[in-house]
Amino acid sequence: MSNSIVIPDMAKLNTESKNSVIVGKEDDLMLVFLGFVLGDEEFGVDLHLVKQIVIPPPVTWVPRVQPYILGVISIRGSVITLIDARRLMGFEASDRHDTARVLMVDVRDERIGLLVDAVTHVRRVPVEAFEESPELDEGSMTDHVVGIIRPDEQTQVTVIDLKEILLEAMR
Amino acid sequence: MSKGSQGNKAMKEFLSEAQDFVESLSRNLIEIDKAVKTGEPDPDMVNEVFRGWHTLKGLASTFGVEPLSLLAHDEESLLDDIRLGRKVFTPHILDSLFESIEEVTKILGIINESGDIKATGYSDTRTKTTRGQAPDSGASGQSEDDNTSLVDPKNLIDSEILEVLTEFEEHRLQINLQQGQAIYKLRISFSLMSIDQELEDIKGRLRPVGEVITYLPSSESNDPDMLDIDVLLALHQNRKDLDTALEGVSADIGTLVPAKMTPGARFDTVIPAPPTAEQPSDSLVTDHDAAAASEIERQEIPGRGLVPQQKEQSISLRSVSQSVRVDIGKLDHLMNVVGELNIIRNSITKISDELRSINEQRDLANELHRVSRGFDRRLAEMQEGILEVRMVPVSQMFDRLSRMTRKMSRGVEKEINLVISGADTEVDKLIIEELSDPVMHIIRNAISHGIEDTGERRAGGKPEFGTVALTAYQKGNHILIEVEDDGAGIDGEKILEVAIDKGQLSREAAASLSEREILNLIFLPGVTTTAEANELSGRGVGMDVVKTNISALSGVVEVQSELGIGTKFTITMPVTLAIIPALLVSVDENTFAVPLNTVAEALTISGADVKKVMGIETFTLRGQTLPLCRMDGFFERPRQGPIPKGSRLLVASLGQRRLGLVVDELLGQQDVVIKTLGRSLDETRFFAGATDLGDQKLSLVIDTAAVIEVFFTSNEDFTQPAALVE
Repeated sequence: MSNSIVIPDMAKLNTESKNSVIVGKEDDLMLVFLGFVLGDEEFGVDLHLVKQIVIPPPVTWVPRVQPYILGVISIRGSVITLIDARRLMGFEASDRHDTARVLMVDVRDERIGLLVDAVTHVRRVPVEAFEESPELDEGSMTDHVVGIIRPDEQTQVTVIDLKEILLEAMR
Repeated sequence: MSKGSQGNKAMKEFLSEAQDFVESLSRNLIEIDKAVKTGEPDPDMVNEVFRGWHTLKGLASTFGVEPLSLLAHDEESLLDDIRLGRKVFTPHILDSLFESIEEVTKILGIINESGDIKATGYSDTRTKTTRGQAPDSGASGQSEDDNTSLVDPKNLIDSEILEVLTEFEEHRLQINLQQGQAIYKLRISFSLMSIDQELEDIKGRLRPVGEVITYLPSSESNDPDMLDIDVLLALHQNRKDLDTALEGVSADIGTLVPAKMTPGARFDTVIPAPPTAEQPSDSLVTDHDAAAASEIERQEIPGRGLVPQQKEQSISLRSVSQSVRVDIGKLDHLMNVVGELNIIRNSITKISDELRSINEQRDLANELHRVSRGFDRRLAEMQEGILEVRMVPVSQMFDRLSRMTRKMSRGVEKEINLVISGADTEVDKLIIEELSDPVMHIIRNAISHGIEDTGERRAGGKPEFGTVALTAYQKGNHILIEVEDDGAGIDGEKILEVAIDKGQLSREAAASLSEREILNLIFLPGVTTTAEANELSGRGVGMDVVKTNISALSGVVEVQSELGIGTKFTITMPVTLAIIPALLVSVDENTFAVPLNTVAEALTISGADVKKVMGIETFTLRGQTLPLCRMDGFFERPRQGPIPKGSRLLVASLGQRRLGLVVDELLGQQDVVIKTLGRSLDETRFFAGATDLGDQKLSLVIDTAAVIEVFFTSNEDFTQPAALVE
């Protein structure tokens, strides 16, 4: 039961989003992201991208692959490639905590798992509170920052284009 | 599965049924093609092809596939003319018939790809003239019959029989009468229970002595359990031969028409062709109706052509076919379930072992052990059963290939004799599907590059007919497919030059290659023997693709060649990929599965047994040097020092190559269901997939072929961990 599903069906939360221009657009007024933690930073990704969230099952090491690939896991009888979000996004490796989760996302017709340190909340913000692509240092990862949101006084979430990051890595 | 809409399902049904027809059509056509070369094709076979098109037409119009039903209609009419003797088979007509099959395949392909059964975009580019309507294939085909006149059977045979004959049957009757053959009516009693079997038996007995024109159930039976059948036979041999053929059968033999002593002589009563309106084959009846009528008549004969099973059932309720079409995906699912049952079985075994160690539970433990043994056996049976269902004869692929070979040999104007053997060898359906293209490519190469021009062959003292032998056979858990030609062979020197030119090889490296290694260069991208590309081969798809495709199926392809004598490609494939017996091994505390069919033996090894040859670790196995591959090093987790005591050595052998895989431990043997890895892991070629061993953690299944391949071709040194060098 180690990989019991935390949010059983993310798809039910999803609204029609095909026409949205801004990542995470829920309707004309609100944007919706899933917040997750890497190190001491919170990131937000388009909620519609995440199909499922699971507690990490035992991982099988796959030799001779890219360093950001942790291995394979078994989810409901399918073999899923598990990607380490830390390595993928240039964070240092660290010990895994109990809070760690796997976000299941679809990339190039394949469902893959992304290991993150923790999942925070579904973040809903009004469109006008979305700070679009701030000017940052040049860098491969900063290119993928879509914007910043501040759900409350203390919290700042970096919204990233996860799909692009994954596509670029797997190219 | 979710998008399994009704239309989609119907489409799949249609495609798979149509594909079956295409395959049996082409099989029959190939037989006819052979027969035409040597003489007269079997009229039964021609009729079979006619009926095939007829059914395909019906199928196509049921599903509303317009272009296909139009095409089938044309072919049906053409074959109707042929079976009724209005036209004869010319090579031209045969070509057009083969082409039509290609056209059908094209249409089916479009439907399959677009996922739309009404998919348009198909247009038959061939003109009417190329479709068997050419002048030389016209009505003049009936030359023999035209000059003479047809025999009117009306005056020779009771109208009672004549009235029920189909147009085709009547035509056959006329032909036989005209040849002066004797016509017999045999009345044979069959038991209703076993009529199918017995009728087939009788037909088999009669075939060598004559032609069965028709068989009709007689109404005059007094025993409700028996059925009398009248067989109308044109006897081509002596009456004595008929008696011998029917030995042991109680048949009432009546002569309808005696044999003409001088064959070819004409009967007194003749009528000119075409037949008059009074004849049973009423000219108002269209070909289509006649065919339909023949269909109905045949169905009226109970259970015709059936494998007799479930005899206790009422005969009229039997379905026409005893086979069921199954989506391979469903079989995969069943296989997964069996795999999961295997896991549960292992847990039960574990529990029963634990129970046995508790004294007071011994009886219960023994009982559980006994039950689980029974479960084991049934499970193994079930697994075997499902595997068997997935198996199809390679003839499915060979038929397609021979059709293509015929077309190609006409294209390059070389005479090619394709010799097929082992077509009934069975392989997993998926493997057949994937293997077609690579094998086709090899044959294509053999025909365009291998087999020389007729002139060249004559000069070389070879028969003008080039021979391509396509052979399949099973060897242990592998199936071997060989493509051998008696062509010019591969010029190693030329290959070397090309490989060096393309930068695949340095001149120094070239000098050290063995003959086998040189031949294997043809599997490198861009290396080809011929300078110019032609229509059939050399269109950028090279042998490297062949090799990649075969490797993807855990197979290997090898080549042997001798200049001036010929070339032989051997493909070695596992019989199935669905569930395989595997050895579980550990490497650096990770469990891996190694397909058992790739392991010749397992030994214990330690550092002391290792001898180095030019720095490469080897082991001497029964006097032969075996290179070693330390799996920890291969998997880029090399450990220092010599091979630890108690390590295991798996002797992997595939084709002609052998390699010793060094692993830490041998954990046991288990049947595993292989699940494919995601595309994100495409770059790792060393795993055929992953399998669930029941401990929640997946284990990777090592693709031994790929490991051997990389070991022998890569410059990396896997025998010597980096740390050892210091």
